[in-house]
Amino acid sequence: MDAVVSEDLVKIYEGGVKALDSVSLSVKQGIVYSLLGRNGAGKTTFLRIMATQLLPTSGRGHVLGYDIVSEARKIRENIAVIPQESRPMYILTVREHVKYFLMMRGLPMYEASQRASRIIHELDLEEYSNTLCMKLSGGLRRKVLVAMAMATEAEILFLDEPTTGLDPLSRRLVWDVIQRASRSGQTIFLTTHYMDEAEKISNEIAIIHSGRLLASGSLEEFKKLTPYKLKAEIPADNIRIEELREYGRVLKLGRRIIVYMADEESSRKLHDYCISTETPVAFSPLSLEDLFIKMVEENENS
Amino acid sequence: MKIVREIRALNALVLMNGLKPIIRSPLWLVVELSFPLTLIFFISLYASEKAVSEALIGAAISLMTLSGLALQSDVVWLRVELKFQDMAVASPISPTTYMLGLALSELAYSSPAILLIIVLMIFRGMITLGSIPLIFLSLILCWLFATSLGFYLSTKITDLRHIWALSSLLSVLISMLPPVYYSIDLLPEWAQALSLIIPTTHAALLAKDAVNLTSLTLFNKSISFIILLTWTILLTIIAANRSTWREK
Repeated sequence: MDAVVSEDLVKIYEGGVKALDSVSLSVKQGIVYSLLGRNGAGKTTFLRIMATQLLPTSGRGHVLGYDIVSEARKIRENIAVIPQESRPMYILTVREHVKYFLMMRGLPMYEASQRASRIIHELDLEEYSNTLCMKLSGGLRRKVLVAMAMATEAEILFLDEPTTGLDPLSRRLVWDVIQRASRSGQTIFLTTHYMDEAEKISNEIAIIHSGRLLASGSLEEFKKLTPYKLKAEIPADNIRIEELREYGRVLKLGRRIIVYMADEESSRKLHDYCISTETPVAFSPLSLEDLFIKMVEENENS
Repeated sequence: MKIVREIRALNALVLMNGLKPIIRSPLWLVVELSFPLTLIFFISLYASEKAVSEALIGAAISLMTLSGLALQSDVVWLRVELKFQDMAVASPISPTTYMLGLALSELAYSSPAILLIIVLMIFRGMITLGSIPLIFLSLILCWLFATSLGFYLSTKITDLRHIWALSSLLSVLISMLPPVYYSIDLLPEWAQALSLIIPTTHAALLAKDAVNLTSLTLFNKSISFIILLTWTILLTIIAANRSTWREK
Protein backbone atom coordinates (compact mmCIF):
# COMPACT_ATOMS: atom_id res chain seq x y z
CA MET A 1 0.00 0.00 0.00
CA ASP A 2 1.30 3.45 -0.91
CA ALA A 3 1.52 6.08 1.80
CA VAL A 4 0.04 8.94 -0.21
CA VAL A 5 -2.06 8.60 -3.36
CA SER A 6 -3.90 11.27 -5.29
CA GLU A 7 -6.09 10.72 -8.34
CA ASP A 8 -7.12 13.65 -10.53
CA LEU A 9 -7.06 16.01 -7.59
CA VAL A 10 -8.50 19.43 -8.39
CA LYS A 11 -8.67 22.50 -6.19
CA ILE A 12 -10.44 25.64 -7.24
CA TYR A 13 -10.50 28.37 -4.60
CA GLU A 14 -13.34 30.82 -4.12
CA GLY A 15 -12.94 33.41 -6.83
CA GLY A 16 -12.14 30.75 -9.39
CA VAL A 17 -8.38 30.39 -8.93
CA LYS A 18 -7.42 26.88 -10.03
CA ALA A 19 -4.62 25.84 -7.71
CA LEU A 20 -4.51 22.16 -8.68
CA ASP A 21 -5.40 20.72 -12.04
CA SER A 22 -5.96 16.97 -12.02
CA VAL A 23 -2.90 16.00 -10.00
CA SER A 24 -2.25 12.26 -9.74
CA LEU A 25 0.73 10.88 -7.88
CA SER A 26 1.67 8.16 -5.44
CA VAL A 27 4.25 8.05 -2.69
CA LYS A 28 5.66 4.75 -1.46
CA GLN A 29 5.94 4.12 2.27
CA GLY A 30 9.22 4.84 4.02
CA ILE A 31 10.68 7.23 1.46
CA VAL A 32 11.47 10.93 1.28
CA TYR A 33 9.33 12.47 -1.44
CA SER A 34 9.90 16.05 -2.51
CA LEU A 35 7.39 18.18 -4.34
CA LEU A 36 9.14 20.96 -6.22
CA GLY A 37 7.62 24.00 -7.81
CA ARG A 38 7.80 27.74 -8.16
CA ASN A 39 5.94 30.08 -5.81
CA GLY A 40 2.21 29.60 -6.32
CA ALA A 41 2.69 26.34 -8.24
CA GLY A 42 0.28 24.48 -5.96
CA LYS A 43 2.72 22.69 -3.64
CA THR A 44 1.22 23.93 -0.39
CA THR A 45 -2.34 23.42 -1.60
CA PHE A 46 -1.55 19.81 -2.47
CA LEU A 47 0.17 19.21 0.86
CA ARG A 48 -2.67 20.80 2.82
CA ILE A 49 -5.28 18.70 1.03
CA MET A 50 -3.41 15.45 1.66
CA ALA A 51 -2.79 16.47 5.30
CA THR A 52 -6.58 16.90 5.72
CA GLN A 53 -6.38 20.64 6.36
CA LEU A 54 -8.14 21.63 3.15
CA LEU A 55 -10.91 20.00 1.15
CA PRO A 56 -10.36 19.26 -2.54
CA THR A 57 -12.84 20.50 -5.15
CA SER A 58 -12.82 17.14 -6.91
CA GLY A 59 -10.72 14.04 -7.34
CA ARG A 60 -9.70 11.45 -4.80
CA GLY A 61 -6.91 11.10 -2.30
CA HIS A 62 -5.78 8.44 0.13
CA VAL A 63 -3.29 8.57 2.95
CA LEU A 64 -2.27 5.17 4.34
CA GLY A 65 -5.29 3.79 2.56
CA TYR A 66 -7.75 6.16 4.22
CA ASP A 67 -9.85 8.55 2.20
CA ILE A 68 -8.80 12.17 2.74
CA VAL A 69 -12.39 13.43 2.82
CA SER A 70 -14.39 10.79 4.66
CA GLU A 71 -11.68 9.24 6.87
CA ALA A 72 -9.74 12.33 7.91
CA ARG A 73 -9.80 11.39 11.59
CA LYS A 74 -7.99 8.12 10.96
CA ILE A 75 -5.40 9.92 8.86
CA ARG A 76 -4.82 12.54 11.56
CA GLU A 77 -3.85 9.84 14.05
CA ASN A 78 -0.89 8.98 11.83
CA ILE A 79 0.43 12.24 10.44
CA ALA A 80 2.15 15.43 11.56
CA VAL A 81 2.61 18.69 9.69
CA ILE A 82 4.90 21.69 9.62
CA PRO A 83 2.96 24.40 7.84
CA GLN A 84 4.65 26.97 5.67
CA GLU A 85 5.49 30.21 7.49
CA SER A 86 4.51 28.77 10.86
CA ARG A 87 6.09 30.15 13.99
CA PRO A 88 6.41 28.91 17.57
CA MET A 89 4.74 30.68 20.48
CA TYR A 90 7.23 33.25 21.65
CA ILE A 91 6.45 32.91 25.33
CA LEU A 92 7.28 29.18 25.56
CA THR A 93 10.71 27.58 25.74
CA VAL A 94 11.96 25.17 23.09
CA ARG A 95 11.47 22.21 25.37
CA GLU A 96 7.97 23.26 26.45
CA HIS A 97 6.99 23.64 22.83
CA VAL A 98 7.89 20.12 21.86
CA LYS A 99 6.58 18.59 25.07
CA TYR A 100 3.21 20.33 25.10
CA PHE A 101 2.68 19.67 21.42
CA LEU A 102 3.15 15.96 22.03
CA MET A 103 0.80 16.12 25.03
CA MET A 104 -1.75 17.88 22.86
CA ARG A 105 -1.56 14.91 20.52
CA GLY A 106 -2.41 12.66 23.46
CA LEU A 107 0.96 11.49 24.78
CA PRO A 108 1.49 11.13 28.54
CA MET A 109 3.59 13.89 30.08
CA TYR A 110 6.52 11.60 30.92
CA GLU A 111 6.77 10.14 27.42
CA ALA A 112 6.37 13.59 25.87
CA SER A 113 9.19 14.82 28.03
CA GLN A 114 11.47 11.90 27.06
CA ARG A 115 10.80 12.36 23.37
CA ALA A 116 11.34 16.11 23.64
CA SER A 117 14.76 15.53 25.20
CA ARG A 118 15.68 13.07 22.46
CA ILE A 119 14.73 15.26 19.52
CA ILE A 120 16.29 18.35 21.13
CA HIS A 121 19.53 16.40 21.35
CA GLU A 122 19.27 15.09 17.77
CA LEU A 123 18.65 18.55 16.36
CA ASP A 124 21.45 20.07 18.40
CA LEU A 125 19.04 22.34 20.28
CA GLU A 126 20.21 21.44 23.80
CA GLU A 127 21.89 24.80 24.27
CA TYR A 128 18.52 26.49 23.68
CA SER A 129 16.33 23.93 25.42
CA ASN A 130 15.17 26.33 28.14
CA THR A 131 15.34 29.49 26.06
CA LEU A 132 12.14 31.32 25.24
CA CYS A 133 11.36 31.14 21.53
CA MET A 134 11.14 34.96 21.39
CA LYS A 135 14.89 35.05 21.99
CA LEU A 136 15.72 32.67 19.14
CA SER A 137 16.75 33.59 15.61
CA GLY A 138 14.35 32.91 12.72
CA GLY A 139 16.26 29.80 11.73
CA LEU A 140 16.23 28.36 15.23
CA ARG A 141 12.50 29.00 15.50
CA ARG A 142 12.03 26.99 12.31
CA LYS A 143 14.11 24.25 13.85
CA VAL A 144 11.78 24.15 16.86
CA LEU A 145 8.90 23.44 14.50
CA VAL A 146 10.88 20.69 12.83
CA ALA A 147 11.53 19.24 16.29
CA MET A 148 7.81 19.33 17.10
CA ALA A 149 6.88 17.41 13.96
CA MET A 150 9.74 14.91 14.14
CA ALA A 151 9.08 14.17 17.81
CA THR A 152 5.60 12.91 16.99
CA GLU A 153 7.14 9.86 15.27
CA ALA A 154 4.05 9.92 13.06
CA GLU A 155 3.94 7.49 10.14
CA ILE A 156 3.83 10.33 7.63
CA LEU A 157 5.36 13.76 8.06
CA PHE A 158 4.15 16.54 5.80
CA LEU A 159 6.80 19.24 5.85
CA ASP A 160 6.09 22.45 3.95
CA GLU A 161 9.44 24.07 3.24
CA PRO A 162 10.94 22.82 6.50
CA THR A 163 14.41 24.29 6.09
CA THR A 164 13.49 27.79 4.92
CA GLY A 165 15.59 30.28 6.86
CA LEU A 166 18.05 27.74 8.23
CA ASP A 167 21.80 28.18 7.90
CA PRO A 168 23.66 25.54 5.84
CA LEU A 169 24.80 23.56 8.87
CA SER A 170 21.32 23.49 10.41
CA ARG A 171 19.85 22.45 7.07
CA ARG A 172 22.19 19.49 6.96
CA LEU A 173 21.27 18.58 10.52
CA VAL A 174 17.58 18.61 9.58
CA TRP A 175 18.35 16.53 6.49
CA ASP A 176 20.08 13.96 8.70
CA VAL A 177 17.05 13.76 10.99
CA ILE A 178 14.70 13.45 8.00
CA GLN A 179 16.78 10.69 6.46
CA ARG A 180 17.02 8.87 9.78
CA ALA A 181 13.24 9.08 10.15
CA SER A 182 12.85 7.68 6.65
CA ARG A 183 15.26 4.83 7.38
CA SER A 184 13.19 3.94 10.45
CA GLY A 185 10.12 3.55 8.23
CA GLN A 186 8.50 7.01 8.36
CA THR A 187 7.36 8.56 5.11
CA ILE A 188 8.41 12.15 4.56
CA PHE A 189 6.47 14.29 2.11
CA LEU A 190 8.09 17.66 1.74
CA THR A 191 7.86 20.72 -0.42
CA THR A 192 10.92 22.79 -1.08
CA HIS A 193 12.43 25.50 -3.23
CA TYR A 194 15.91 24.14 -2.63
CA MET A 195 16.92 21.84 -5.46
CA ASP A 196 20.05 20.71 -3.66
CA GLU A 197 17.88 19.69 -0.73
CA ALA A 198 15.59 17.63 -2.93
CA GLU A 199 18.56 16.11 -4.74
CA LYS A 200 20.37 15.28 -1.53
CA ILE A 201 17.65 13.71 0.58
CA SER A 202 14.82 12.59 -1.70
CA ASN A 203 14.18 9.10 -2.96
CA GLU A 204 11.58 10.45 -5.33
CA ILE A 205 10.77 13.88 -6.71
CA ALA A 206 7.81 15.50 -8.40
CA ILE A 207 7.64 18.82 -10.20
CA ILE A 208 4.45 20.82 -10.16
CA HIS A 209 3.80 23.92 -12.23
CA SER A 210 0.65 26.05 -12.43
CA GLY A 211 -1.23 23.33 -10.58
CA ARG A 212 -0.22 20.57 -12.98
CA LEU A 213 2.19 17.74 -12.29
CA LEU A 214 4.95 17.87 -14.88
CA ALA A 215 6.92 14.79 -13.86
CA SER A 216 7.63 12.46 -10.99
CA GLY A 217 10.12 9.72 -10.26
CA SER A 218 13.60 9.14 -8.92
CA LEU A 219 16.48 11.49 -9.77
CA GLU A 220 17.85 8.90 -12.21
CA GLU A 221 14.48 8.72 -13.95
CA PHE A 222 14.43 12.50 -14.16
CA LYS A 223 17.84 12.58 -15.78
CA LYS A 224 16.60 10.14 -18.44
CA LEU A 225 13.90 12.65 -19.39
CA THR A 226 16.47 14.86 -21.09
CA PRO A 227 19.13 14.09 -23.71
CA TYR A 228 21.48 16.64 -22.13
CA LYS A 229 24.30 15.61 -19.82
CA LEU A 230 26.33 18.77 -19.36
CA LYS A 231 25.74 22.48 -19.09
CA ALA A 232 27.80 25.61 -19.52
CA GLU A 233 27.14 28.96 -17.92
CA ILE A 234 28.22 32.07 -19.78
CA PRO A 235 27.70 35.74 -18.85
CA ALA A 236 25.13 37.25 -21.18
CA ASP A 237 27.21 40.39 -21.86
CA ASN A 238 28.88 40.79 -25.25
CA ILE A 239 27.76 37.46 -26.69
CA ARG A 240 25.28 36.57 -29.37
CA ILE A 241 22.92 33.77 -28.39
CA GLU A 242 22.59 32.63 -32.02
CA GLU A 243 26.28 31.75 -32.12
CA LEU A 244 25.84 29.33 -29.24
CA ARG A 245 22.94 27.36 -30.66
CA GLU A 246 25.17 24.99 -32.60
CA TYR A 247 26.58 23.61 -29.32
CA GLY A 248 23.28 22.69 -27.71
CA ARG A 249 20.06 24.05 -26.28
CA VAL A 250 20.44 27.68 -25.21
CA LEU A 251 18.52 29.35 -22.42
CA LYS A 252 18.84 32.95 -21.24
CA LEU A 253 18.27 33.46 -17.51
CA GLY A 254 18.66 37.09 -16.49
CA ARG A 255 22.27 38.04 -17.11
CA ARG A 256 23.35 34.41 -17.66
CA ILE A 257 23.21 32.17 -20.69
CA ILE A 258 22.99 28.44 -20.09
CA VAL A 259 23.90 25.98 -22.82
CA TYR A 260 22.73 22.38 -22.34
CA MET A 261 24.86 19.85 -24.22
CA ALA A 262 24.27 16.23 -25.05
CA ASP A 263 27.89 15.05 -25.26
CA GLU A 264 31.49 15.92 -24.47
CA GLU A 265 32.24 16.72 -28.10
CA SER A 266 29.84 19.68 -27.98
CA SER A 267 31.32 20.87 -24.72
CA ARG A 268 34.83 20.70 -26.20
CA LYS A 269 33.74 22.79 -29.16
CA LEU A 270 32.06 25.33 -26.90
CA HIS A 271 35.18 25.44 -24.76
CA ASP A 272 37.30 26.25 -27.84
CA TYR A 273 34.81 28.87 -28.94
CA CYS A 274 34.91 30.56 -25.53
CA ILE A 275 38.71 30.57 -25.50
CA SER A 276 38.86 32.08 -28.97
CA THR A 277 36.38 34.80 -28.04
CA GLU A 278 37.82 35.26 -24.54
CA THR A 279 34.44 34.54 -23.01
CA PRO A 280 34.34 33.24 -19.42
CA VAL A 281 32.56 29.89 -19.16
CA ALA A 282 31.85 27.32 -16.43
CA PHE A 283 31.04 23.70 -17.25
CA SER A 284 29.20 21.34 -14.91
CA PRO A 285 27.10 18.17 -15.03
CA LEU A 286 23.35 18.61 -15.31
CA SER A 287 21.68 19.09 -11.90
CA LEU A 288 18.12 18.80 -10.70
CA GLU A 289 17.89 22.58 -10.82
CA ASP A 290 18.66 22.48 -14.54
CA LEU A 291 16.03 19.84 -15.11
CA PHE A 292 13.56 21.88 -13.13
CA ILE A 293 14.28 25.09 -15.03
CA LYS A 294 14.11 23.27 -18.36
CA MET A 295 10.79 21.59 -17.56
CA VAL A 296 9.15 24.73 -16.24
CA GLU A 297 10.43 26.76 -19.17
CA GLU A 298 9.21 24.21 -21.71
CA ASN A 299 5.86 24.09 -19.99
CA GLU A 300 5.53 27.86 -20.03
CA ASN A 301 6.48 28.02 -23.71
CA SER A 302 3.97 25.34 -24.62
CA MET B 1 -8.59 5.54 26.35
CA LYS B 2 -9.92 8.46 24.38
CA ILE B 3 -10.96 10.48 27.43
CA VAL B 4 -7.47 10.27 28.92
CA ARG B 5 -5.98 11.57 25.69
CA GLU B 6 -8.49 14.40 25.63
CA ILE B 7 -7.57 15.37 29.19
CA ARG B 8 -3.87 15.38 28.25
CA ALA B 9 -4.66 17.62 25.30
CA LEU B 10 -6.65 19.99 27.53
CA ASN B 11 -3.82 20.06 30.02
CA ALA B 12 -1.31 20.85 27.28
CA LEU B 13 -3.39 23.70 25.88
CA VAL B 14 -3.96 25.24 29.32
CA LEU B 15 -0.23 25.08 30.01
CA MET B 16 0.73 26.42 26.57
CA ASN B 17 -1.74 29.22 26.26
CA GLY B 18 -2.62 29.94 29.88
CA LEU B 19 -0.42 29.04 32.81
CA LYS B 20 3.05 29.41 31.28
CA PRO B 21 2.31 32.78 29.65
CA ILE B 22 0.72 34.02 32.91
CA ILE B 23 3.77 33.01 34.94
CA ARG B 24 6.01 34.84 32.47
CA SER B 25 3.78 37.86 32.06
CA PRO B 26 1.67 38.26 35.22
CA LEU B 27 0.67 41.79 34.23
CA TRP B 28 -2.19 40.19 32.31
CA LEU B 29 -3.80 39.22 35.61
CA VAL B 30 -3.86 42.89 36.64
CA VAL B 31 -5.35 43.81 33.26
CA GLU B 32 -8.13 41.27 33.80
CA LEU B 33 -8.85 42.74 37.23
CA SER B 34 -8.64 46.38 36.32
CA PHE B 35 -11.77 46.68 34.18
CA PRO B 36 -14.44 45.25 36.55
CA LEU B 37 -12.82 46.73 39.64
CA THR B 38 -12.79 50.19 38.06
CA LEU B 39 -16.49 49.92 37.30
CA ILE B 40 -17.26 48.75 40.83
CA PHE B 41 -15.18 51.64 42.19
CA PHE B 42 -17.17 54.23 40.22
CA ILE B 43 -20.49 52.62 41.16
CA SER B 44 -19.47 52.63 44.83
CA LEU B 45 -18.79 56.39 44.60
CA TYR B 46 -22.18 57.30 43.20
CA ALA B 47 -24.64 54.55 44.07
CA SER B 48 -26.14 52.67 46.98
CA GLU B 49 -24.79 49.61 48.81
CA LYS B 50 -27.31 47.48 46.91
CA ALA B 51 -25.95 48.81 43.59
CA VAL B 52 -22.42 47.85 44.64
CA SER B 53 -23.63 44.33 45.40
CA GLU B 54 -25.31 44.18 41.99
CA ALA B 55 -22.10 45.41 40.40
CA LEU B 56 -20.14 42.63 42.11
CA ILE B 57 -22.49 40.02 40.63
CA GLY B 58 -22.19 41.83 37.31
CA ALA B 59 -18.41 41.78 37.52
CA ALA B 60 -18.35 38.02 38.04
CA ILE B 61 -20.67 37.45 35.07
CA SER B 62 -18.82 39.96 32.95
CA LEU B 63 -15.46 38.34 33.72
CA MET B 64 -16.72 34.90 32.70
CA THR B 65 -18.24 36.31 29.51
CA LEU B 66 -15.14 38.29 28.60
CA SER B 67 -13.02 35.22 29.26
CA GLY B 68 -15.07 33.31 26.70
CA LEU B 69 -14.96 36.14 24.17
CA ALA B 70 -11.20 36.55 24.64
CA LEU B 71 -10.89 33.15 22.99
CA GLN B 72 -11.56 34.84 19.65
CA SER B 73 -8.29 36.75 19.53
CA ASP B 74 -6.20 33.75 20.53
CA VAL B 75 -7.83 31.41 18.03
CA VAL B 76 -7.22 33.86 15.18
CA TRP B 77 -3.69 34.57 16.40
CA LEU B 78 -2.86 30.86 16.57
CA ARG B 79 -4.43 30.16 13.20
CA VAL B 80 -3.40 33.15 11.10
CA GLU B 81 -0.15 34.35 12.63
CA LEU B 82 1.45 31.18 14.00
CA LYS B 83 -0.30 28.54 11.81
CA PHE B 84 -0.59 26.49 14.98
CA GLN B 85 -4.16 25.50 14.19
CA ASP B 86 -2.94 23.85 10.98
CA MET B 87 -0.70 21.66 13.11
CA ALA B 88 -3.64 20.91 15.40
CA VAL B 89 -6.00 20.09 12.53
CA ALA B 90 -3.51 17.56 11.17
CA SER B 91 -3.34 15.80 14.54
CA PRO B 92 -5.63 13.57 16.57
CA ILE B 93 -7.10 16.47 18.60
CA SER B 94 -10.77 17.25 17.92
CA PRO B 95 -11.99 20.81 17.31
CA THR B 96 -14.14 20.61 20.46
CA THR B 97 -11.15 19.68 22.62
CA TYR B 98 -9.08 22.40 20.97
CA MET B 99 -11.82 24.95 21.68
CA LEU B 100 -12.30 23.77 25.25
CA GLY B 101 -8.55 23.69 25.94
CA LEU B 102 -8.07 27.23 24.71
CA ALA B 103 -11.20 28.38 26.57
CA LEU B 104 -9.85 26.89 29.81
CA SER B 105 -6.54 28.61 29.17
CA GLU B 106 -8.42 31.92 28.91
CA LEU B 107 -10.19 31.12 32.16
CA ALA B 108 -6.80 30.81 33.83
CA TYR B 109 -6.31 34.55 33.17
CA SER B 110 -9.71 35.45 34.66
CA SER B 111 -9.66 33.06 37.62
CA PRO B 112 -7.78 35.27 40.11
CA ALA B 113 -10.12 38.19 39.32
CA ILE B 114 -13.21 36.01 39.70
CA LEU B 115 -11.87 34.64 42.97
CA LEU B 116 -11.31 38.18 44.25
CA ILE B 117 -14.89 39.15 43.32
CA ILE B 118 -16.21 36.06 45.12
CA VAL B 119 -14.11 36.90 48.18
CA LEU B 120 -15.56 40.43 48.15
CA MET B 121 -19.07 38.96 47.87
CA ILE B 122 -18.42 36.65 50.82
CA PHE B 123 -16.95 39.58 52.78
CA ARG B 124 -20.13 41.55 52.16
CA GLY B 125 -22.24 38.58 53.30
CA MET B 126 -23.86 38.12 49.90
CA ILE B 127 -23.16 34.43 49.40
CA THR B 128 -24.83 31.66 51.33
CA LEU B 129 -24.44 27.93 50.84
CA GLY B 130 -27.85 27.83 49.20
CA SER B 131 -26.99 30.52 46.68
CA ILE B 132 -23.76 28.89 45.45
CA PRO B 133 -25.27 26.38 42.95
CA LEU B 134 -27.34 28.99 41.09
CA ILE B 135 -24.49 31.53 40.97
CA PHE B 136 -22.09 28.84 39.81
CA LEU B 137 -24.53 27.61 37.15
CA SER B 138 -25.14 31.12 35.81
CA LEU B 139 -21.41 31.78 35.56
CA ILE B 140 -20.66 28.48 33.81
CA LEU B 141 -23.49 28.90 31.30
CA CYS B 142 -22.34 32.44 30.52
CA TRP B 143 -18.80 31.21 29.97
CA LEU B 144 -19.90 28.35 27.72
CA PHE B 145 -22.14 30.65 25.71
CA ALA B 146 -19.41 33.25 25.18
CA THR B 147 -16.77 30.61 24.46
CA SER B 148 -18.89 28.95 21.77
CA LEU B 149 -19.78 32.32 20.24
CA GLY B 150 -16.14 33.41 20.31
CA PHE B 151 -14.83 30.20 18.78
CA TYR B 152 -17.43 30.12 16.02
CA LEU B 153 -16.77 33.72 15.01
CA SER B 154 -13.00 33.35 15.22
CA THR B 155 -12.94 30.52 12.70
CA LYS B 156 -14.69 32.73 10.16
CA ILE B 157 -12.37 35.71 10.43
CA THR B 158 -8.93 35.87 8.86
CA ASP B 159 -7.66 39.27 9.97
CA LEU B 160 -6.57 39.78 13.54
CA ARG B 161 -7.54 43.46 13.45
CA HIS B 162 -11.13 42.54 12.60
CA ILE B 163 -11.36 40.19 15.55
CA TRP B 164 -10.04 42.88 17.93
CA ALA B 165 -12.82 45.20 16.78
CA LEU B 166 -15.47 42.50 16.92
CA SER B 167 -14.33 41.33 20.33
CA SER B 168 -14.55 44.85 21.78
CA LEU B 169 -17.99 45.39 20.27
CA LEU B 170 -19.33 42.08 21.58
CA SER B 171 -17.92 42.80 25.03
CA VAL B 172 -19.92 46.02 25.17
CA LEU B 173 -23.10 44.47 23.75
CA ILE B 174 -23.05 41.36 25.92
CA SER B 175 -21.46 42.34 29.19
CA MET B 176 -21.54 46.13 29.55
CA LEU B 177 -24.74 47.46 28.03
CA PRO B 178 -27.30 44.90 29.31
CA PRO B 179 -28.37 44.99 32.97
CA VAL B 180 -25.47 42.95 34.24
CA TYR B 181 -23.69 45.51 36.42
CA TYR B 182 -26.92 47.34 37.27
CA SER B 183 -30.55 46.51 38.05
CA ILE B 184 -32.89 45.79 35.15
CA ASP B 185 -35.50 47.95 36.93
CA LEU B 186 -33.47 51.06 36.06
CA LEU B 187 -34.28 50.56 32.37
CA PRO B 188 -37.46 51.77 30.63
CA GLU B 189 -39.86 48.97 29.73
CA TRP B 190 -38.92 48.75 26.05
CA ALA B 191 -35.24 48.49 26.96
CA GLN B 192 -36.03 45.85 29.57
CA ALA B 193 -37.78 43.80 26.89
CA LEU B 194 -34.84 44.27 24.55
CA SER B 195 -32.31 43.29 27.18
CA LEU B 196 -34.15 40.03 27.80
CA ILE B 197 -32.93 38.77 24.41
CA ILE B 198 -29.38 38.80 25.75
CA PRO B 199 -28.34 35.72 27.75
CA THR B 200 -26.13 37.61 30.19
CA THR B 201 -29.22 39.53 31.38
CA HIS B 202 -30.76 36.22 32.47
CA ALA B 203 -27.52 35.04 34.08
CA ALA B 204 -27.43 38.28 36.06
CA LEU B 205 -31.12 37.96 37.03
CA LEU B 206 -30.60 34.40 38.28
CA ALA B 207 -27.43 35.23 40.20
CA LYS B 208 -28.98 38.38 41.73
CA ASP B 209 -32.03 36.36 42.74
CA ALA B 210 -29.76 33.77 44.37
CA VAL B 211 -28.25 36.46 46.63
CA ASN B 212 -31.62 38.15 47.26
CA LEU B 213 -30.86 41.32 45.30
CA THR B 214 -34.00 40.74 43.30
CA SER B 215 -36.97 38.49 43.75
CA LEU B 216 -38.02 36.38 40.79
CA THR B 217 -41.10 34.18 40.75
CA LEU B 218 -40.45 30.50 40.11
CA PHE B 219 -41.95 30.98 36.65
CA ASN B 220 -39.64 33.91 35.80
CA LYS B 221 -36.69 32.05 37.24
CA SER B 222 -37.49 29.05 35.04
CA ILE B 223 -37.90 31.23 31.96
CA SER B 224 -34.57 32.93 32.61
CA PHE B 225 -32.87 29.60 33.10
CA ILE B 226 -34.43 28.13 29.93
CA ILE B 227 -33.42 31.14 27.82
CA LEU B 228 -29.85 31.08 29.14
CA LEU B 229 -29.61 27.32 28.64
CA THR B 230 -31.10 27.49 25.15
CA TRP B 231 -28.62 30.16 24.07
CA THR B 232 -25.75 28.11 25.46
CA ILE B 233 -26.84 24.85 23.82
CA LEU B 234 -27.56 26.59 20.53
CA LEU B 235 -24.18 28.30 20.39
CA THR B 236 -22.37 25.14 21.49
CA ILE B 237 -24.03 23.17 18.69
CA ILE B 238 -23.19 25.90 16.17
CA ALA B 239 -19.59 26.05 17.38
CA ALA B 240 -19.21 22.27 17.23
CA ASN B 241 -20.81 21.86 13.82
CA ARG B 242 -20.46 25.09 11.93
CA SER B 243 -17.01 26.30 12.92
CA THR B 244 -14.39 26.02 10.20
CA TRP B 245 -11.86 23.42 11.25
CA ARG B 246 -10.89 21.99 7.91
CA GLU B 247 -10.87 24.73 5.28
CA LYS B 248 -13.05 24.52 2.20
